[in-house]
This record gives sequence, structure tokens and C-alpha cells, in this order.
Amino acid sequence: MNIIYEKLCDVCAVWRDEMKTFVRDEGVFLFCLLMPAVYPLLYAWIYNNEVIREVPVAVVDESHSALSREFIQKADAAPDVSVAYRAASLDEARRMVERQEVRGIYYLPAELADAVYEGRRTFVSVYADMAMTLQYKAIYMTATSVVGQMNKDIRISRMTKLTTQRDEDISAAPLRFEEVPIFNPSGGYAGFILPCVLMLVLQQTLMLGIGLSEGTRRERRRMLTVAHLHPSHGYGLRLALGKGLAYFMVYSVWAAYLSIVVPRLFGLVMIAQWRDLLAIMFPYLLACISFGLMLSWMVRYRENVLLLVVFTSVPFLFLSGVSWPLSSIPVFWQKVGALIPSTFAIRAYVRVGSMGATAADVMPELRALWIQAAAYFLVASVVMWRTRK
Amino acid sequence: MLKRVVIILKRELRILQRNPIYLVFMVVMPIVAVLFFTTILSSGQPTEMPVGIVDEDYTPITRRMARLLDAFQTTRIAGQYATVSEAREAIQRNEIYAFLYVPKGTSAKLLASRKPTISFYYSMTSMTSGSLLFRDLKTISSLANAGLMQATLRARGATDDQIMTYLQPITIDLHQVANPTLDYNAYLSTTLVPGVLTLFLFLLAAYSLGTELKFETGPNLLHMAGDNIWVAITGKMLPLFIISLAIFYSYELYVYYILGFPHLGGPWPLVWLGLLTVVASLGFGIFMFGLMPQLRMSMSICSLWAVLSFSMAGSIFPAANMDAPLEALTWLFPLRHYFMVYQAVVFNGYSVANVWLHVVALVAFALLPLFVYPRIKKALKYYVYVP
Repeated sequence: MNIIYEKLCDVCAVWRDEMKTFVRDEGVFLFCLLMPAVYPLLYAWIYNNEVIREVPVAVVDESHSALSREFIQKADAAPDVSVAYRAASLDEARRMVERQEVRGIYYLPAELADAVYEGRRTFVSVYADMAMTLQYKAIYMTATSVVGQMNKDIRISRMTKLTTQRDEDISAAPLRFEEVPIFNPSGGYAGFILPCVLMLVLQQTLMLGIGLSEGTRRERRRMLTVAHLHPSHGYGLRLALGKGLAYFMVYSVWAAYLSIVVPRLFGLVMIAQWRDLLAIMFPYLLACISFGLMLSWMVRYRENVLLLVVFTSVPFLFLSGVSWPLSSIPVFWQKVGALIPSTFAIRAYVRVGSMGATAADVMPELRALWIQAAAYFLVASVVMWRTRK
Repeated sequence: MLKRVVIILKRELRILQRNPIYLVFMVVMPIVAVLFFTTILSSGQPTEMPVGIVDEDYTPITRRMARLLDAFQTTRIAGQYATVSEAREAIQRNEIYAFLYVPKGTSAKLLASRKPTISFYYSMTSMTSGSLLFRDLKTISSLANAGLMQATLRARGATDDQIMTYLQPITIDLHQVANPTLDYNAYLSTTLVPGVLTLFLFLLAAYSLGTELKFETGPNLLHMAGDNIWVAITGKMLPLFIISLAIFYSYELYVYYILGFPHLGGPWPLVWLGLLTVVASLGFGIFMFGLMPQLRMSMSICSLWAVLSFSMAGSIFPAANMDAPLEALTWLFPLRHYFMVYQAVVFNGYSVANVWLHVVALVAFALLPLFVYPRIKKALKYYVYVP
């Protein structure tokens, strides 16, 4: 009984020591207390405007007809595109694209109106600068929908035998298609990227914090931060427990802030029940802390951890399979991704938070997080025990 | 003076040899990054994305629609579901990304000309798959309608040409300048990989100066450089500069000439843009160290900056659509200028004159350290490291 009590005391002593570093060590303070608070707000601000609106395009109107004017008006009225210039020739418009004044060109040929009235097929040319896909999409999709509308009107005007409007409507399009964006319905960039970033911030700052604090410890060549903690049986386990507990306490607050407060603050879709969120965040934090403790042995000097962790942020985002569909990620990288806690946490959080799934729906991810937490914790304890000298 | 630079250079080479971190982050990790991004995006566009079907009607007409959907390169029918909520749950379990819902009585209504409605549910929580699936849906809906009208018109004795003219009096003639296949690899890797390379350069520049303070070798370094800070920093940065430039050029050679990414600007812009990006990043790292002559703080700030660069470059979410103050702040990120010059000069092959301000900005980043040389000198001389 006494022994258990003593060991618990050890754990608490390690915990107290680690808690102090949060405020004493400026590196740990910066990454574990400041960054989790500020970074999400910064990212939310960057992607605040969500969607691409009013992409500037130039129009070359060689047709000068009611039809071409209709096209220009409709395109300009569309939310995604704004007709910024009327160019006299295609060359002039191209120069505008080169000067980065516009991102694309709509070219209306001279024969446009004549061809339509004579019943020949004609075309509208769309030139898009492909450097940014979101802008290309806005330019192309606007042209498609405007031309689609105009085609329908033209078809209707050619139908002489039909009488009622309903008849016209049906003959112009016998089948109606309804598009329903079910999750993240505004199709916004923030609604898509922010949940991933929030989860990633948790893991990366934790790894940075643990790495820095462990690095300092090793640098001072002082394994035993607590004087009476003797390198005996179960030493690594107690150290890992005590440290893990300290990080877990601080990060419980951050986990709640990132998964509940920040999405509310920026009006992101957040429809998760607290039980489901808890079911994800609990094993996620454990997995991240164990992962961080395990990796910390790689850090000979505390600064090296910065190089390693900072670089992995973007690759980890990709491995989660949200920004790039999982079905298109090569199997090898999927397996690498399975080693990283954020991969599963991002998937689970996005589905629970923005798609209204329940903990039962994300069972495979939760299981993976628990396995990671247990496995990394064991390895971390062993590593700590082995480096006790 | 040149002799002293060589002495410092040799000293630096010994440091590089001794500390494996340099080799790892100058050579190994950049290679890993290049391979990572180019292989993960190697399909160019996501293909065969799993979609589902809820066919409550199940007639030859609706089955034909399902086949149409399956035939698209981007989609693959992964499952048939009995009800909409079952399909929705499948999306929540990540088994499918979208589904087509055909309500009961669709075919009958179609035959009776009562304009039935078919719904396409897609998830925008993944933007890439969501928008590509949306595009496919648009195509399918017009194809399906065209198919139905075609049948009617053919029955009335119209020729194919007449039918096409009737269905689509105006077509869109699309010119996807410079990247006709809409290859996402060429689009994403060309900013993400340089982003990672600049990140390493920021950090390594600050690291190599900071470790002089940490190991208290600063006075020795200055002494060897004849108390000349120019000589000291030039000699120290030369190996980092040369190796990183070689890595940057290898990356360019690999993606533009082996993977064949679009580069209408030809080889020369690649050469000078690579050089400018490397010196600008080194300049930024040295400058940050000069502002905060301390290993830990300068590296921390450099990492915060580098991670933000990926968003602030405006290569995915355009800077023009950010709030005005943020758009102005993008000027503080070297990666932003790299991207602006890259997309105009390398990718589209436009003249440099169109983006000259960004070139100037890159040069300015390279010159920034000049302002802080005195500070660095002072730090090297008098700083005492506290772990």
C-alpha cells in the first residue's frame, strides 16, 4: 500500500515539475499556451471570406448584339465573376491577363448573334488563367451556367407549336436535377480547411512543447528532475505518467477551446454532441501526448524538434485525406498516415463536427486512436527507462 | 579577405559534418518532401471517387443514368442504398463522397412529361472531391436531358446535326491556358514544395547562427573572420546556400523536366527564380536572427512565419479574396512573392515586367540582413547562453 502511495507521489512530483515548465520555459510557453490560442484565430481570419467572389474577367465583344450584351450582363450579375474590362481585341485582353489585372477572358465572336438567328451552332470562348483553380472554377462555371440559361431560352423561342409555359419548360429540360450540398453547404473554404487545421494545431503544438521541454531536460544532462525519483523498476512509466498528466490537463482546456469555442466564434458548422466530441478528443490527446513523448528521444538539442515538427504540418494535413480524397492517396502514404494521430482525429472530427456523424460512425478511427495511445505510451515508457542514465 | 572567407567556410563544413541535423534538413528531408507531394498527387486529378446511388425507381431509364455516372473518370459507383438516410450514413462513415437519389415514379413521370426531379447529394467538407463531383453532376444532368430530348427529336425525324444545334445553340470553347489537363500535382506541388524548402532555409539560417551562441563559439568565429561580420556570415552561409540551391535546382529539374509540369516560361526563369528564392529565404532567416539574437526565439518566430506562408502565399485561396489588411500582410512572406513570380513568369510565360514588384520584394528580403549585421556581431561577441 505504502509503495503504491510513494509511486503516486513520484508521479505527482513529476507532474508538478512539468507544470512549472509551462510558465518558466519560454519555448514551451510560446508553443503550448500562446500558439493554441492565437493560431486558430489567425487561420479563421485568413479564410474568413470563405468563397471566391467577383473574380475579374475581361470581355471581348465582337458581336455587339443584344445576345452578347445579355451574356455580359448575366455574367457580371453572377456572384463569382465581375466583368472588369471590355477589351477591343483578344490581344488587348491577353495583355490584361498578363498584367494580372484580370484572371480570364470571355470572347464573344462576331458571328454569335447571326449564327443563333440563322440556326447554326456557334460558341463562346473562355480563356482562363490556370494558376489558381478556385478562380478558374469561378470563371468556367459562370460561363457554363450563363450559356446554359441562354440555350434554354433560345430553345424555347424556337418552339412554335408549344403553347403553355409549362410545355415550354418541360420540352426545354424534361428532367430536373437538384443539387444538394449536404455538409458544409455554403461550399466555403473555411468550413472545409479550418476543422482540419484546428485538430492539427493541437497535435503539432503538443509535439513542439513536449519536444522542447524534453530537449531542455536532456541538454541539462539532468534526467531526474525530481530528486527522490530513483531510476528503479517502473521509472519510465512514472515519468511518462507524470509528464503526460501535466500535458493532458493543459490540453484538455485547449481541446475544448479548439473543438467547441473556435468553431462557434467563426460560425462554422458544428453539430456534434458533447459526448461524441469527448469520445474523439480524449483518445486523441492521449495519443498525441504519447506520440510526443516517444519522439522526444530523437531530440538531442531542443531546437531540432522545431525543424522536424514544423515541416510535417502540411504533409500531415494531406495524409488526413480531407484536402485530397483518401481514395486517391497511394497506399504507401495511407500506411504512413495511419501512424499519425492527427490522421484519424481529423477524419473523425470532420465527420462528427460538420457531418453530424455519431461516435459509432467513426468507430474505426476511435479504435485507431486508442491503439496509438496505448502503443506509443508503452514505447515512450521503455525509451525513457532506457535513457535514464 | 577572401582567404578568411575560405577559412570560415572550412570551419562551417566541419560543423556540417559533425551535426547530422544539417544533412538531414538540407538534403534528406527536402527530397522526402518532393517525393511526398509529387507521389501523393501523382494522379493529377482525383479519379474513381466512390459515389453511391439510391434508386427507388429501378427502371431501365434510371439504370442507364447510374451507368452514365459510373462511366465518368472521376467517379465510381461504390454502393446501392435503399434509402437516403442509409446513403447519408455511408457518407458519414466516409464510404462514399456523394450520392444520386432517384425517387420512386421518376420514369413514369418522365414518360408522362411531368418533369420529375432527381437529386444529387454531395459533401463539401472535402473541397477537391466536392467541387469535382459537382462538375460531373452538371455534365450528367445536361447529358441526361440531352439524351431524352434527342430521343424525342429523332422520333420527329431530325438529323443529328439539327439535334445538336437545337440542344446547344451556343457551346463553350474552353481554353485552359498553360495547364490544359487541370493537373493538381502541377498546381499544388509547385507551391508546397518550395514552401517546405523555404521553411528549412529560414530555420537552418537561424539555427546555424544561433548554435554559435549556444556553444559560445561566437568570439572564436569573429576572431577567425578578422573581426569582420561580413566575412563571418558569408563564410557561414556559403555551404548552406550552395547545397540548398543545388537542391532547389534538382527539384525544378525533376518536376519540370522529368514529371513535365507546365512551364511556358522556359528554363531561364527557373534558374533566376530558384536563386532569388533561396537567397531571399536565407536573408529572412538571418534577419530574424538579427532581430532576436537568440537561437530559440528566432527559430520559433521563423517556424511560425514559415507555417503561415503556406496560407499567405495565396496559391490556393487567393490573396485578393482575403480581408484587405491580410492582403497587405502577404507582402511580408517570401513564399508569396515566389508564387506571384512563378505563376506569371514560369507557369504562364509572361514577361517579368508584369510582376517586377514581387521580384524587387524578393531582392529586398535577400538584402534585409544588412540592417542587422551590427546586432549579430554584438550578439556573437558578448552573448552568454542560458539553456
